Amino acid sequence: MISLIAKLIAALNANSRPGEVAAGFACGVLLALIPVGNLLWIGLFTFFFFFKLHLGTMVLTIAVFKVWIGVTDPLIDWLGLWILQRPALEALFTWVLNTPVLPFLRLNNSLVMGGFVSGFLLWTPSYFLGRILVLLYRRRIRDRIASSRLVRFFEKTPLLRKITKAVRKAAAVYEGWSA
Amino acid sequence: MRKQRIPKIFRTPITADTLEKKILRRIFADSEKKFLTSCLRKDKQGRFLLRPELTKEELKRLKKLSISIKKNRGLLVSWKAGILAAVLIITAGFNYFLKNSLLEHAAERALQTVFRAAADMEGTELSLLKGRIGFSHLTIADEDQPMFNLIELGKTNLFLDTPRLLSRRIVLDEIACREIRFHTPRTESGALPHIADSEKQEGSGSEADGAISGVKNMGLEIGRESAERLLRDYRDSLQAPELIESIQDRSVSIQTRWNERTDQTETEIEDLDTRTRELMEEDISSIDTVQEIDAYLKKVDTLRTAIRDTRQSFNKTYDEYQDDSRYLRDSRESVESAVEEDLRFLKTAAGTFGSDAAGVISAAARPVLRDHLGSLYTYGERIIRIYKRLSGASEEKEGRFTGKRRAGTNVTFPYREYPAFLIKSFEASAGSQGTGNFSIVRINDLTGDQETWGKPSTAFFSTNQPFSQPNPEPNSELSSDLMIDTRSTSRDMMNSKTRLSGLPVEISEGLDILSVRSLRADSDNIFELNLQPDLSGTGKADINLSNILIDYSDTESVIGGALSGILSDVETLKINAAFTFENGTLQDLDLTSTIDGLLNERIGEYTREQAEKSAREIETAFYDYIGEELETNDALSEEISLQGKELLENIRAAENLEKALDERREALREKAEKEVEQQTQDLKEKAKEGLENIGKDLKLPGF
Repeated sequence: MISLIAKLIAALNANSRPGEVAAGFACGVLLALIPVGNLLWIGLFTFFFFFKLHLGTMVLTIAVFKVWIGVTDPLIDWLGLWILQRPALEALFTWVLNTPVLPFLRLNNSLVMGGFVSGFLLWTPSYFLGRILVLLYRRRIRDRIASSRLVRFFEKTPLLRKITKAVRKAAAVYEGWSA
Repeated sequence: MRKQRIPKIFRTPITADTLEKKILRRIFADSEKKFLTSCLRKDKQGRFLLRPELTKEELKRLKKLSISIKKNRGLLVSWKAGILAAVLIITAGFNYFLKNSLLEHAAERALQTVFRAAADMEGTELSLLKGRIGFSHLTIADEDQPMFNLIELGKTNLFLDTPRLLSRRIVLDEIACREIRFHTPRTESGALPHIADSEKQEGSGSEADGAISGVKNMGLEIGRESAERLLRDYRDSLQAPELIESIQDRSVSIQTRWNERTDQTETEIEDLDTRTRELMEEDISSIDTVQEIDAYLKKVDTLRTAIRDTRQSFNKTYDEYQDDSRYLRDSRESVESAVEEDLRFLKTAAGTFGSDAAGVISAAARPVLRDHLGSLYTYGERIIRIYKRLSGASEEKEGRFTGKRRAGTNVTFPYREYPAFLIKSFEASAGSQGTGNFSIVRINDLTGDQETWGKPSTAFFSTNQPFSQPNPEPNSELSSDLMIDTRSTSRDMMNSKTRLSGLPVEISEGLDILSVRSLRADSDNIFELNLQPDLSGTGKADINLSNILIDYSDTESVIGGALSGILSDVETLKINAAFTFENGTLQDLDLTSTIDGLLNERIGEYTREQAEKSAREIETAFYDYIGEELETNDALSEEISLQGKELLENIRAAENLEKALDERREALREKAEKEVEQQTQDLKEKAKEGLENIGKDLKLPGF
C-alpha cells in the first residue's frame, strides 16, 4: 500500500502525463465496479496493462474503491438486471453464453454486467475528473506542499522518510521536491 | 570520471516546430519547461541548440528529462508491447516453421520406439487454437518383414473442441482416418539402422526399472510409517480403551476383596452354626441348679448376640457389595457411552480419513523424501511454502473485497449443454474408393449421455470387398445403417438397415426333403430391424435371388418333379419376410415370395387333375359297389314283403277272432240282463207277497 501511495505521489509530482494518472484512475474505477473472479475483469486488467496508464494509480483506486463499492451494489445490480432482461439483447446474451470461453466473462451476472456498463459509462467522466485533479494539484497544491513545514517535518519521521525515499526512487525526475 | 553525454534528442539542432510538437508538448512540469528553454539557444537558421557551457548537473537533469519525454510518447508501453509482439512473433514463427516438423519428428520417434521399425509421417498439421492434429500420410514398417509396411494410413485428422475443454467437456468434432492399408510393399527397407541403440535403451530401461523399484520401496517405507503414525494418532483420540482399562483394574481389586470377604463370612457362619448345634445338644433336664441355668442362659445370650452382630456385619457387607455392584453397573454404562462416543468419532474420522491420511503420510514421507532427494526436496518445500503464502494472501485479499459485495443475480439464457464425452463424427476407411476394394465406417454423435446431447448415435458401415475369394463378385457390397437411441423420450431404441448386394448364396444342407442337393444363387438383400426399449420390435427382410441354380437329387420323386417343374422357368426370386418379436422371442413370421402365384397355379392344376382322376375312379367303384348292394336289397325286399303278407293275414285273423268274441260277449250280456230281470221280478213278487202277509197279520190302521 505504501509503495502504491508512493508511486501515485511520484506520478503526480513527476513529469508524467496527467492523462496517464487520469486513465489509471478511470480504469481503476471501472475494475473496482466489476466483481473479481471472472474473465472480464482479468481481460480488462491485461488489456489496460499494455497501455500507458499509471498502474499504481489504477491498483490504488481499485483497492480504495473496492472497500466502498458495496454501497453502490443495489444500483449496479438493478442496472445489470435491467440490461440483462432487455428482450432485444436476449439473442446477443444467448450467443455469448453459448460461445466457447465467453461464458467465463460471466456477463449473465447482474453485478458483472451492471459494473461493466456503469464503469464503461463512468470511464470518460472519471478520466477528465482525474485529469483536472492532477492539473489542479500540480498547479495549485504541489509547490505549496513541497515547501510547507509539515512536509519538512514529515521528512524527518522514519515512515514518511521511507515514503519520500520510495517516491524519489520511483520518480527520480522532479528535482524541485526536496530542494 | 566519466563525461556526461548529451541526450540524443538534443544532439542535433531542433527546429522550432519540432521543439514545440515533439518536446515541449511532452513536458508537463512547468519548472522542467523553464529549465529546458534556459538550456537552449538559437542558431543562425533559427534552430535550437544546447548551450555549450552546460554543467554536469544540468546535463544529468537533461538526460532525465529526455527519458521522461520518451516515456510520454505514444499510447502503448513500448517494452510491454515489445514483449507481447515478441511472444506473438515467436508463437507465430513456432506455429508456422517449427511446430509441425517438431510434432512430426516426435511422433516418428515415438512410433519407432513402439514398433521397432521405421515410421514415416508426412504432412503433419497441428493447430492448438482449432484443436486440430493430423497428417496426410503415415507408414509404419513391419519389424519382421522390413520390405513391407505393417500399416499405412492416408489423410488422418482429429479435431478437438478445445474451448469445451475449459468446461471439462471432451468434445471431438471429427476423427477421420482414411485409406488404411495393411501389409503394403515398401520401396526401401524399414529396418532401423541402429538397432544397437535400442539395446542401449533396454539397458537404460533396466536402469529405469531400478529407479522405479526404488521409488516403490520408498513408497512402501512411507506407507508403513504413515499407517503406524495414523493408527497411533487415532488410538490417542479414543476414550473407551482407557476407561475400560481403568474399570478392569478396579474390577479386579473388587473381585479379590470380595473373595476374601466371602471366605471370611463363610467361616463366621460355620462357627456360629457349630456353636449353636453344641448348645442345642445339651440336655436341659439335666440342668438342676440356678447357676447352671444362668450359665446356659448366658451361653444362649452370647450366641444370640454373636449371631446378631454377625447379621449386622453381613448387612453392612451386603451394603458395600451393593455399592460395588452399583459402581460396576455404572461403569458398564459409562463404557457403553464412551464406546458410542468413540464410534461416532470414528465415523466422523472416516470422512476425514483421506485428508488425515494425506497429512500423516506427508509427515511420514518428509524424512524419507529428504533422505532420498536431498536438496531437491528442500527446494520443493520452499516453492510449496511460497505458493501457499501467495495463494493464501490472494484468497485473503479477495475475501476482504468480495465478502462485502453482493453475489448478484445470474440471469439464465438458453444454453446448449454438452455431454462429458462426445465424438461428433468418426470415420475410418480402408482401401481406395472406386477400386472395388473399399471399406468405410462412420459413427456420428457417439456419447454416453444422449439426453444432454439430444441426438441419437448413428453408425454406417460399408464395404465392397469381394465376399468370395475364388470367384469374386465385382459389384458385391455390404452396407449397414444403425441408429441407437437411449433417450427416455425415444420410441425406438435401435433401428438398423443392412443391405447385402451381389452376395453369392449357396445352400447345400437341409434341402433333402425337397429332393434338392444344393441351391446356388446371387442375392441382393435388405434386412431391417426395429427394437423398442422393452425388447419388442419388428423386422423385415427382402431377399432377391437371381441366377438360381438348383441341383436336384431325385427328379423322379413327386416333390422333386413338382419343384423342378415349378422352378425350371424361374430366374429371379423375391422373398419378403416380416416378423415381430417380444422379449427377444419371435412372435409372428409372414413369408411371401414372387413365385407364390406360380406355385399356387401349378399346385392348383395338379390338384384339379388329381381330383378329376379320383372322381372317375370313385364313380366306377361306386357303381360296382352299388349293384351288389341293390341285388341284396331286392332279395331282402321280397323276403320282407312275404313276411308282411303273413303279418297281414295274422292281423286279419286276429280281427276276426275279436269280432267273434265281441258277439259272444254281447250275447252273454243280453242273457245276463234277462236273467237279472227275471230274478228281480221274482224277488218283487215274493216281496209283495211277504208284505201283504205282514199287513194282514198286523192290521195296521191306514193301510
